[in-house]
Amino acid sequence: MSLLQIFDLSWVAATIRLATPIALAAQGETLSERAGVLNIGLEGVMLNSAFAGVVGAYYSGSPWVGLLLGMLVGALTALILAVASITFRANQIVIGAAINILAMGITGVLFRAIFGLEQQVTVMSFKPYPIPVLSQIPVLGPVLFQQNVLVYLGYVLVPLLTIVLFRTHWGLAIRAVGDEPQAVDTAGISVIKIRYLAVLIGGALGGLGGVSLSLGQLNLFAEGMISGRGFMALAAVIFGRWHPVGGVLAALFFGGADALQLRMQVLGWQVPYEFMLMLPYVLTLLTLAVFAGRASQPKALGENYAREVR
Amino acid sequence: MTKPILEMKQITKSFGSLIANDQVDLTVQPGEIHGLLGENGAGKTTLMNILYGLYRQEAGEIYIDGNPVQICSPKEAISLGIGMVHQHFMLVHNLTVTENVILGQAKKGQLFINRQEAAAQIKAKAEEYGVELDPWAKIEDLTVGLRQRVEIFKALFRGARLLILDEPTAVLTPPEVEQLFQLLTNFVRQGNSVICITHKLHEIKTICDKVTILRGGRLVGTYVTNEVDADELAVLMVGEKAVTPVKSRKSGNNKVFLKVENLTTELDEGDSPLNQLSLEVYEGEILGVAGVDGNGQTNLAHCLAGLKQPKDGKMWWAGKEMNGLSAKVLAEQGLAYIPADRHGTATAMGMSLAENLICRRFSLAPFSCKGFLSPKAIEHYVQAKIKDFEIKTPSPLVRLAALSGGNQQKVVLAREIDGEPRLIIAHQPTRGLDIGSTNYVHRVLMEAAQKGASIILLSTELEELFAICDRIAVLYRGQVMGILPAQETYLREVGLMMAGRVEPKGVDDHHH
Amino acid sequence: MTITIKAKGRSPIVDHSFTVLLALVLSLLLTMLLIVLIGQNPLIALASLWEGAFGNAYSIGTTFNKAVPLILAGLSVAVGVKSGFFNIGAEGQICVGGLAATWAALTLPGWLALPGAIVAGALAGGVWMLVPAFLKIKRGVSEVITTLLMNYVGLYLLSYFVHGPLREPAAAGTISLPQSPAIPEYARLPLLLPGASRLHGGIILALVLVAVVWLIMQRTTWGYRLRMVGLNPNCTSYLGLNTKAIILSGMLLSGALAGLAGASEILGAQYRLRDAFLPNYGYDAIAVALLAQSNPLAVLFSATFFASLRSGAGMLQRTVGLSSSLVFIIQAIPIIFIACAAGKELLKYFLPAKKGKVIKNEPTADI
Repeated sequence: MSLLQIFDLSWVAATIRLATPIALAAQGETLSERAGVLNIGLEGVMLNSAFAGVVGAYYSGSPWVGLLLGMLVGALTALILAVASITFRANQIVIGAAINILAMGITGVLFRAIFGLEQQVTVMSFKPYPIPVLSQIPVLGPVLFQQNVLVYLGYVLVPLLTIVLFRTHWGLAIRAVGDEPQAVDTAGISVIKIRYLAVLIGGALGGLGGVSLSLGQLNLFAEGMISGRGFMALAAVIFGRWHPVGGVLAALFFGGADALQLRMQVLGWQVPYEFMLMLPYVLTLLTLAVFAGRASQPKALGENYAREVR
Repeated sequence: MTKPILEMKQITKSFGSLIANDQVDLTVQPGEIHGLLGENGAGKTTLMNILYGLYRQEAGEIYIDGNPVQICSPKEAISLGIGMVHQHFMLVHNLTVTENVILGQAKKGQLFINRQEAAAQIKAKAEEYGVELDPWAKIEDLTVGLRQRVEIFKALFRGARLLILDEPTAVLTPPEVEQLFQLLTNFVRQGNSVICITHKLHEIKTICDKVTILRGGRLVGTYVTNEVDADELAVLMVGEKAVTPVKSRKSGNNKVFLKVENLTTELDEGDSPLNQLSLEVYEGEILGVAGVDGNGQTNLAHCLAGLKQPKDGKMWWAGKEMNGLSAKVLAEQGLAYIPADRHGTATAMGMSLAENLICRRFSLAPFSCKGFLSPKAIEHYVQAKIKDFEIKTPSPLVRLAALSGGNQQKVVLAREIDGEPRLIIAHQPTRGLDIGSTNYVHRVLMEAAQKGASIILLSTELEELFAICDRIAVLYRGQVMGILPAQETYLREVGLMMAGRVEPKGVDDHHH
Repeated sequence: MTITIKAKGRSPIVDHSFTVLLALVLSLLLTMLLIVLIGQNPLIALASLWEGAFGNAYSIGTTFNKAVPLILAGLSVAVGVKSGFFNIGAEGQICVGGLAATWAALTLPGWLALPGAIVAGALAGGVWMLVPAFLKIKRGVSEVITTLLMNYVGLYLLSYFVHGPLREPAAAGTISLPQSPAIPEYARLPLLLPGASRLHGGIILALVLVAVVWLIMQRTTWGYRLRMVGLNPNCTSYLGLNTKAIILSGMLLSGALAGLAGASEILGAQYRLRDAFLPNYGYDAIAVALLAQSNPLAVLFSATFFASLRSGAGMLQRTVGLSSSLVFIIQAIPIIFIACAAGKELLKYFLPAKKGKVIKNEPTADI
């Protein structure tokens, strides 16, 4: 068995497929963390959105309605974090952990209330849509451009977010708020407004990640279906060093490792594939150890801001 | 005559019972660098914070270009053309100079940043004012002096015509000071104005056209700097103090207890490094260390207390070398240290009064045995201390944060001055305390000296130093400018030395 | 620096108890509202929840069995909060604790097996904390991120062992499940009420550790150091104490407690190691510690509360037809309320301070 047989085009396709939800959610988390708000509840955001997406698609018959509903619910879930941590200055980690628990509860209860005793619900979802011309490119065309529309959204989103963060005044304010909120406050920009926006849009993008799983890949909803992808997106943000492109590369790397271990299992290799799954986290830890102290992590990450009163 | 750019009339502001500004006037003309001179607590910063919209005055009016204005927020101040450079810079360290300057400067509907254009503007303006500033450098890579320059440019790009600088030279090296002065001179040449808060007389003489002196919240007067000499300014700043010595004790004997020779520390943020500092303290003596904040007081205290290792120099107590001994060992051998920062360093405000009282000794008998605390012994000790030091508290178990500042400081004193220490380092021990507590602290220190302890009292309050010290050493830029007896007749000399007016004794090479 | 209003003469404990009570009542009301909206009778639902958790000796046993790992992991988080760090890695420490305990129970002989397995669990949890501790102390990396990442390393390590080295040998012609062999009788925590319930000796271990942790934190010089570091690390440095060593010791203690949570579950309840054998307990532990305001004695009650929700959930689903997931909502809402109140902003709406005075916010170890 040669290496080419493992790292072939279907491995690349699987990598992209597995990486998409993580990459999308990581974009949202990057935005939120750049503004200084750590959303450990990303897993819950994705779960709620994956569910809302299926509900939307189920009642309307259109995955597009599901997509919109999913993103809206993602933003609403993140709103809990925003209100609690930005307005009430509650500990971001505690609220994030609570959001994860809450999402399991809400989706579980509503799933049963809406769909009864079904174990899972299958709905109309996004089908692969080959992009004319581009999908005809030999080798890469079918892999990159015969995906569903959510993957294409990711292609657009990453450069867009990069431009927003690094080329616009709003992005400048976000990055400054995550580092030195007081400096932003004295510059006459509202720290609260910037953080709310970043967290809410971050939630909507996290929701996009959830929808891409339920309506883009699995075409169903089942309880607990995010199974750690939210946390993986958190790791991807760190591994990607808080840059949109870095986050995508990290997600692709994670997806690639995942695709590889699936393949090894299918081929019946006696390789401990768990170590493949572990690799992304170990490497992220190593990244932290190596780059610690360098200016990559937003300095005020996880810290709530209160204007000094005298 | 042109209209003054700024007129502040009869400004009054109080904090509780403290009157920070009492009917203060200030007039600044276009094209003028105006010094604002006064000791710590004279009300300079309060006055400027009112002008910048951080505080509201209780009485008095402000006129800009002759028009009456209400300034309720920094935003309004900025729109009136007022810019302020605080002592603590408000910069985002991760971002470049350009990004910091344009932060919050987006015009309506302007989405994208034009870095090239902004950088070019910054560069052009820097050239115009005759200084260098790399628009592409990250703040974290810049020296303190350059960071300050970025702050100034932030104000300039917000259209400042009147620039307020709070102690701008405190953190600068001499060449940086020169460049700053160059920049300011070029700035006012275009009809703009600068208000420069300072303690330093020679700076006033060097660059200020006029100087307004405040003392104890009141206006002393406004003078044309060419018409007064530095000595006169010093007297005006310090005033004729009614120094009432409380010293009814015998002064220390002539045995040297603490000897410090050529103490030198590394450069660090926030405080001037020590530069070949030498001094001696006798047994039973209170040596005052006067000086404007940030002239090396913290470094001196930290070196003596074992919290910082000097780069060079030696320290002895009772003839034995102190270098290299840890804070813990020093404390165990009779060193007491009362830090300036009561909240951030000296105590754990969230712990109880009792726990804060025993934190030097909790691991020793009788307070603990084999790793277990002994609540009874602790309670017994704590009750005794509460009584001895007249600490007002409902119970020894309340959190320290619930006590008044005076009582918190009594807890620190009770803890540090326990067991007859041989050397006490007290850094601003009365800062923020009311008169009763202040007197109490003074009494405790004097009693300790009476019992033979050597005491170093670092303070910016001259009254305090003259009231209870035997001698006063003046610290300026990490050096001892001179040591004088604490007698009223030397008040003026101390004031001059604090402003760096006398060459340091015995040190001929110029610092840094 | 913020300004808060503190009323005179009311202790933080009273304040907190009031907050917790208020939060629980509010969340109960919200949950009942939700049940009404779904079209069920809320009173019947709550009654069945109670019935499921405390209805008879058997269910009471189950509830306390579920409380054991929550108490231990809750103590782990609480020790962290009091010592100034945030352990969100209990999930991973539980995994490796269970793993080490299983291995020890299967390997060590006779009388040594049970104590050996307990110690192995604690050690493994502590060792698992070494990585975050090293990164925090030497490299200044926040433990929040590193403990979170270590969870996944732990989960996959556990998965590797149950699929590989520790997997039960298959009988001829069959494929075994991905789980370890059952640990021998002599290595198990004994059942306390055999026949009546499955209540096992882990609860005694948990109770003892509640007392021990309380003792350590309140009555020893070690605990004194830990709390001081948690409240003001500048102060410990000023006192000449070794701040880093104190933080390290606190992190190891915290890790060991979570490791014990995993060990006790295997040795008392499950007897076999499986993939993710205590899912989400590490995150629930954060909620347990928050509800208890990191007080070890209060952890006992908050963990029991969460455990009763978990064990009553099945009954809720069987008798009322509501999803057992409802209990997650009942768990999450009070956490959000309490965390907001701890953020010092919410409480003042409910408790207007009489004769209050304005003080500066001191650093506290609240979460």
